[in-house]
Amino acid sequence: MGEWLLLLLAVLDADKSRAYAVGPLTYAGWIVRRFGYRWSFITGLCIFGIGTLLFWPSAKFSSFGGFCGSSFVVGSGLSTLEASAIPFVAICGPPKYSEIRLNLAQAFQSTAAVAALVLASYIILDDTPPKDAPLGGQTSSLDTIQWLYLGIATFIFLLAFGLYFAPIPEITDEDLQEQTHQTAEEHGDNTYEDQPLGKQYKLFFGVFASFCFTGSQVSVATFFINYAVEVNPALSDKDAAHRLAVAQAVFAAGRFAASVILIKVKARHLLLGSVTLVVAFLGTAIGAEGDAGIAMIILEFCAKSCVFPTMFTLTLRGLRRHTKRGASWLVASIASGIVFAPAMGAAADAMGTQKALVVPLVAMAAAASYSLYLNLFKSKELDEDWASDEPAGQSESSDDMEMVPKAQRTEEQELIQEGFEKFCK
Amino acid sequence: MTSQHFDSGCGRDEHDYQIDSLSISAKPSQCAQDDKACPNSCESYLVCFVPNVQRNYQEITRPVPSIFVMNTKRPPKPKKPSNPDKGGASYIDRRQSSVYANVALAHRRKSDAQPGSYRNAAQLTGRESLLPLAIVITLFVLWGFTSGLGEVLNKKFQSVLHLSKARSTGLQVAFYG
Repeated sequence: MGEWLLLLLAVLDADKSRAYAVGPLTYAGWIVRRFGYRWSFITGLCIFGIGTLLFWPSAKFSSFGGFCGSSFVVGSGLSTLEASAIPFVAICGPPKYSEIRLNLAQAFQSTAAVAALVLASYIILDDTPPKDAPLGGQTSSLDTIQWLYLGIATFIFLLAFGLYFAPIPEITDEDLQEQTHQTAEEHGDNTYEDQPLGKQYKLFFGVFASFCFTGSQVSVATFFINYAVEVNPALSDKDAAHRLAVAQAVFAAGRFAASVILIKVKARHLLLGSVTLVVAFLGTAIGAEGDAGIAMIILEFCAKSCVFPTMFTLTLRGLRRHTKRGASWLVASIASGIVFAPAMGAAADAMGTQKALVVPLVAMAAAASYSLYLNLFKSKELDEDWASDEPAGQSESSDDMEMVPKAQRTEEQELIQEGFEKFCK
Repeated sequence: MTSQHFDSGCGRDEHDYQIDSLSISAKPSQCAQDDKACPNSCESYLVCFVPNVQRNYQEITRPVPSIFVMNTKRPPKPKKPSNPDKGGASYIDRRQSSVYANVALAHRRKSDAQPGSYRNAAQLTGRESLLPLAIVITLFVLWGFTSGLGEVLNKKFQSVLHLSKARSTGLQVAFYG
């Protein structure tokens, strides 16, 4: 029996990934649309917190099933959070800076992931038990994790409580619809018309591209160590793991760099450029040998760092009243690791890990075709927001009354004036 | 017309109040254009009267948490953030405290459906969006930290529970997903 079959079974075990496929499309998307971002954050955090608390018994009884179960709960919570946090960051503030905001936010996310990796390997992996130690004798090493997770859970619940009072602005699909309408009128665009969900072809293509991209990303990351050991047999597993950590650090740095680059460069250009680079690096990595191959993969990590946030935001642009639903679909597409990692595993079984990079390469080429489509057919639509420095649907803002759109303000004044006159009669 | 509609917070008697209020019909709107014209002192009933309208007006148009307001010279806002979906009722309630707006409401019912009781996220300026973004970025950090931790945890489980490599690879896939 090939190892890939085992891998497939393992992936079917992977409840967390399934949570990503299920959550955003069902309850998470519904909560965002019905109750808004604040309640979506709070719900997500609560589920997440319960999941982390569930790690305690599963660590206590050393149960892999329990671990998978709590992973599923954590995954549900995280996917709820993502389905609202990513579109929130994209929408909150002037539309021109959407891509910058999301890139920056995800840069912090990747940095935290790298920090956790480094921290955890110092705390936890230093006392790696010998391979033939009895099962019950090693609970002490899991103890550290239990306390860490308890701390995280406490922080999560405090955060959820704080979010109830926090100033979270809101936007409904109707608002978005109205705003795009206004913007279109301001630009003298008479071609504006409302399209039903079934005609949002850009969204469909975008979700497909995001599906392929995250699939490619997951499979490269999963098989990085196998690849590194294959192209450079001198490396030990631990050295390869160190190189993976370097790659992830570069990935985080790439996102910070992208948010700076985006100040000057249009998002669709950056997307096309970076996806092209990713395809080039992956292609080279298939042919390269030794450390050169590993370097190519690390460069690929750097180039692809900005792709997901940029693609996400570009796909959301112009969706109007379908924005929240579209965002849920895009988050659900993250679950594509279920498909691509086993596919690459099967390929790696058949022809070696290096050649198996063809699988993520093809997936990445599909994502590249989407960025080409955006640049060729959607450039005018995407550049509309980019031209204006001001918040959407707001033609001018004065410093003193910045919180009140001018149109509303004069109306209120009129209202007061009108009431005053009627009152005096 | 009776004077009981007015908020007599300035200590003047009703008689003075009433007479003068008829003579200054144009003042409130002028005042609304410029905050500085409305000091909170009670040197005349006009000055006393106008800030009340001004305060009510701001509550109507912007029932947002005070933490949003970067400009410190504004009067305090209601602290509790409003529910995004249920703005209608409280919106009218607040209005009833304003004499002028209340009278006007009887004539202009359609304006009830005007500004919502929440801040529109896409209409924030860059500076205003910083605070909500900072809050949400802590969510991103939390999420990144947990997934990073999960990776290491997976390795740990692998060694502690003697899992087969394939099984725990699946778990890693789950985390990346």
